[in-house]
Amino acid sequence: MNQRSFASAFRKNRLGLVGLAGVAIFLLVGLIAPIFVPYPKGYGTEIMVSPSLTHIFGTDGLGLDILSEIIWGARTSIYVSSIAVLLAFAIGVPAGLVSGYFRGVPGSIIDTLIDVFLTLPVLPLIIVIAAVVGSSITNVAVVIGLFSWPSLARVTRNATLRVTEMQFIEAARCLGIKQRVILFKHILIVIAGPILVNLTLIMATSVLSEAGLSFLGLGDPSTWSWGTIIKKAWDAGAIIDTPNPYWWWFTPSISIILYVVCFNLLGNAINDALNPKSRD
Amino acid sequence: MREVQGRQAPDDILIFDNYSAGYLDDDGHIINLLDSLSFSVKEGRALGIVGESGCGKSITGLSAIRLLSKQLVVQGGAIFLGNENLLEKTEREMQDIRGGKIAMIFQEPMTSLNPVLSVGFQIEEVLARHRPELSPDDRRSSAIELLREVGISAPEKRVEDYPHQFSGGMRQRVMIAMAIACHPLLLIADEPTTALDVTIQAQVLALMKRLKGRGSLMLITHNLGIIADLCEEVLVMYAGRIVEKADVETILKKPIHPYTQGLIASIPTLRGERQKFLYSIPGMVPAAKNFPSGCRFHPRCDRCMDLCRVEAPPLTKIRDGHSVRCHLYSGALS
Repeated sequence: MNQRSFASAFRKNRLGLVGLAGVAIFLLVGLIAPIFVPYPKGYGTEIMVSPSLTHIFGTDGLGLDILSEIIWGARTSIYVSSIAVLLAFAIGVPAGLVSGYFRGVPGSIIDTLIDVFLTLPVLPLIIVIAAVVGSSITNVAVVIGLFSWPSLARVTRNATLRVTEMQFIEAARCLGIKQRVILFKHILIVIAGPILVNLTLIMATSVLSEAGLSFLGLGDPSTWSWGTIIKKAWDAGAIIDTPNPYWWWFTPSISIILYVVCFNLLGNAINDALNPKSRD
Repeated sequence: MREVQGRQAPDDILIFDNYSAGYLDDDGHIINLLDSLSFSVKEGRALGIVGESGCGKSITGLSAIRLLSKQLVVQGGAIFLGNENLLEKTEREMQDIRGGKIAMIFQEPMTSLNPVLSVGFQIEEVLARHRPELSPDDRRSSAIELLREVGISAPEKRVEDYPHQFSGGMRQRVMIAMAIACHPLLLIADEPTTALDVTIQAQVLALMKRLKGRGSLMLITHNLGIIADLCEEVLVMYAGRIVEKADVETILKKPIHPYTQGLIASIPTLRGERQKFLYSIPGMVPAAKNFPSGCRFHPRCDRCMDLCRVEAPPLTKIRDGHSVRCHLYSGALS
């Protein structure tokens, strides 16, 4: 892979740069959060203050600064989505590659397994598992990851099936290239586009799932996440109150949307830049 | 060690010895495709294999590097590369042979290169695989040298380019560069020019002619013109059997098997008497499961006899270097 041509192709994609900047900001905020804001806990004195200079995003029903909650929530989101993506990648990509390349019995077994996992009612199952294993944020992340790999495996498998048929794979075999190299280099690099896009989708949906679980009260109550903030706002009736403390539920929702959008933009831009044809 | 077969000259590079292969149908029966192929490719010489589509040419080529699909099974015989029987090699040993001692190029240059890897990377990968003693810098300069050799202009620049930046003819040149990168003893070319337009065909043929002599060539094609241009010896195949085997002169000027005669007669000519219709052999190659009994060509043969329907003719030696599989010459008539 030619690093330079990839980077220069990526730089031409403005939306991709926006996505990259957004992702970078989220990562930075999440990673160095403890340095610039204290962990929001206990009670504050100023309850339900609308956005002002001291509290840019206002405060919640307990008087805690919502900006700090969102910053600490970003940390949780990154943690959850990273674990989910790593798990999905570690299971889904090898499964898809193997079932697409070798087919036969191992292929059918993996394919059936993918089908079974895809037909499972995921949200109720996640709820049950989260309830059983207890609501630590790591458990939630692992459960989300365990249910994210089938879609990735399916995408990988389909792309592998298509690429394996192509003559350059046969040509590579004719030139004595080892099967492992063919599988994990020649094929993987051709199908890297759809895989990366799918990974960014998992990155985004895992945050949505986490927010959903937290909203249902199955998240980790001791950890701030964007879903937890919305849940607390919901429990306090802030979403239907008049006058409405819109800042309480609006800012975490916007954070979730921005997080998802930025990762999607980044994924699409990587996909485009990986395709040599779009570089000219 | 190779068993002594008598007819094997010491300079044979690749020897097919009574090789048969078939495919497994859905019921688990083996249906014969290639029947007792015996021929050899000599050092520094070019052997052409001609025949219609579906006569087993490509499977013969793929057999030599053991890249047959899973449904295909070897039924007997042996394939020797030098003194070693390729059919006894492990997959790992075969991977060292493919690209190293035997290389292959295909019909479709448009799809034979990985679209997301630069051509330089792909050539260097072959070098890294089979000549690990080369340093990365050596590999890069060898890749450039190979591209220059196959006639790519400004190879220092083009080596960074991706396959879609090359035309079909140039991609076929790149494929040839990859194939000859490790100086293989034998190059198998499966319809190397079929997908190219005529002027490019001529250039690629000229290139192959220039490269000839460095190693042996096994050229699979249905185009007798290309055979006439490049090969010294010709194998005519029909329905998985060798029907005639001779030097190129004999095949083109004095073929004796009715099928070869039909093939030659179906070449359009510019000179000679004007014919109303171009000759063609009636019918088509049967599918393997419908191979007829006796001589597999008999339903289409205009000189078919009763014997041809029941008994397969043996490969009969007419004279040194010319054999034919036909009852007209097998002595069965006398």
